[in-house]
Amino acid sequence: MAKAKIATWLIVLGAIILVLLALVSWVIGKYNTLVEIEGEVINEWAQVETQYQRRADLIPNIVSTVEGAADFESSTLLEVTEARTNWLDTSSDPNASMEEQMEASSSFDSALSRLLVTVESYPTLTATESFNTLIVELEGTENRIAVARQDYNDAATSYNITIKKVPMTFFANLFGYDEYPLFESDDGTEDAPEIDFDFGADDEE
Amino acid sequence: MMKNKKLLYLIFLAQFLFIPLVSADFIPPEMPDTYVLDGAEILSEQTESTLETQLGTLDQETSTQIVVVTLTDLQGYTIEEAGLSIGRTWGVGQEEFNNGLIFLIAPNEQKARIEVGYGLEGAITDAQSYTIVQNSITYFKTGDYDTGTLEGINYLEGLARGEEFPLEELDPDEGMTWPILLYLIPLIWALLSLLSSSKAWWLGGVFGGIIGIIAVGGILGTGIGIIIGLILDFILSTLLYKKLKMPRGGFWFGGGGRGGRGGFSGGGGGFGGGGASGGW
Repeated sequence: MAKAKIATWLIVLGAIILVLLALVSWVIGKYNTLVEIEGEVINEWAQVETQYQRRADLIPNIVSTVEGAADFESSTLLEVTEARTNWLDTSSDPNASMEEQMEASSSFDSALSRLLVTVESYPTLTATESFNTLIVELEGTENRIAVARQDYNDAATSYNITIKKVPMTFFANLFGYDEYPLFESDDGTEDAPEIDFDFGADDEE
Repeated sequence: MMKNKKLLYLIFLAQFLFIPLVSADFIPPEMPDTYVLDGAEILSEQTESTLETQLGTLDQETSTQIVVVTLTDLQGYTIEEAGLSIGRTWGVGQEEFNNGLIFLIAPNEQKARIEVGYGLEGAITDAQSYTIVQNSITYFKTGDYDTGTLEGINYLEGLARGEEFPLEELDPDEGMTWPILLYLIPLIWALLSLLSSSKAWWLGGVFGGIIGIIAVGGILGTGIGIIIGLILDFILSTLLYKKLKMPRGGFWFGGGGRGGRGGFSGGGGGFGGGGASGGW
């Protein structure tokens, strides 16, 4: 009789432990999901930085090639060089927030596109082989940047949505998971600067 | 009251059905099982079969996948967006190497692009892609899509063969998984029947703890292991005392194997916007 009672209690105890265990593993699962989806965002962000770095590596060559062209507006060149330095400083600064880094990226974008617009009015420059090679490389880089930014935005958006949904929002608050900023797509920064020189296309139309 | 409950339940369900919003994208054509998809019908049959053989051989010999796609329209997107979307959706290239490439022609928009997967970016630089596209375009201008495509693919194949990828063999891990599991089943069976053969249930806790340390590690893992072991042994020692049946198998088996090759089939899809485009 007493034995049967003990067995009943043990079964009840076992059930409680099982429920607790299920609860714990549920919380662990949620936490791991947060780690995973944030990891994806961080990974895509790293891609963005890599591609901007690639652009930053190209700029000195472009600047020195353009500088060779007679009477080229030095202010545009100076702007690009400064924007590049600013981006390099910001991205290597561990204290810089992501918003600050994005701002540095977007001013880098606009300085570069201003330079490319200016360059178009220098036909002797755009006809040189070395400049064209650089532009092809830049074009590839710009496309990679556009892709990386889009991928980052996609990952960050789905992360932001996930951490706002019930019940994830409780865990996100509990474990301190915040929203990630997005690249703004206004003022035409979403698209890569339009590079459209028709190299050696004398036979066009 | 009843209605409220139903509503709550629906909301609860809806949460799982919620599909994250994806930004509108170029919709690629359905994935073919051939290396050439001439949607715009600008290539001759002979060219198609030549390319099919050439690209099939390339895939078999080097595992690099090059696909040729022609489109009637770009749905208002740029050719870069179209190329990326096709590469990623179809998963062009091998999963381990992302060695895929798309030669894309949109005759109506007068655009062409070479979209290069991550794994080939070293072998085929943007500048090389650019030169190849420009060369092909000189033929496209006159409406000679056959020559332009064949020449472009020849150049690309030459460059792609410069980069070696280990030919896909049976992954040793994949081959081993089943035998190991087959060994494990009798072992687990033996362990379970040992636990059920005694009325004491502390033994399960010991085994659980050991497995917890090995498989998960840490205090948490060990603790959970001990608890699971104790519960399991408790059940085994009471309900199933000395009458253990084989537990229903299957629940510890992970994913399945991978299909073989033959014709174009994706797997990779790592594209980051490498390559070059041109127009005419």
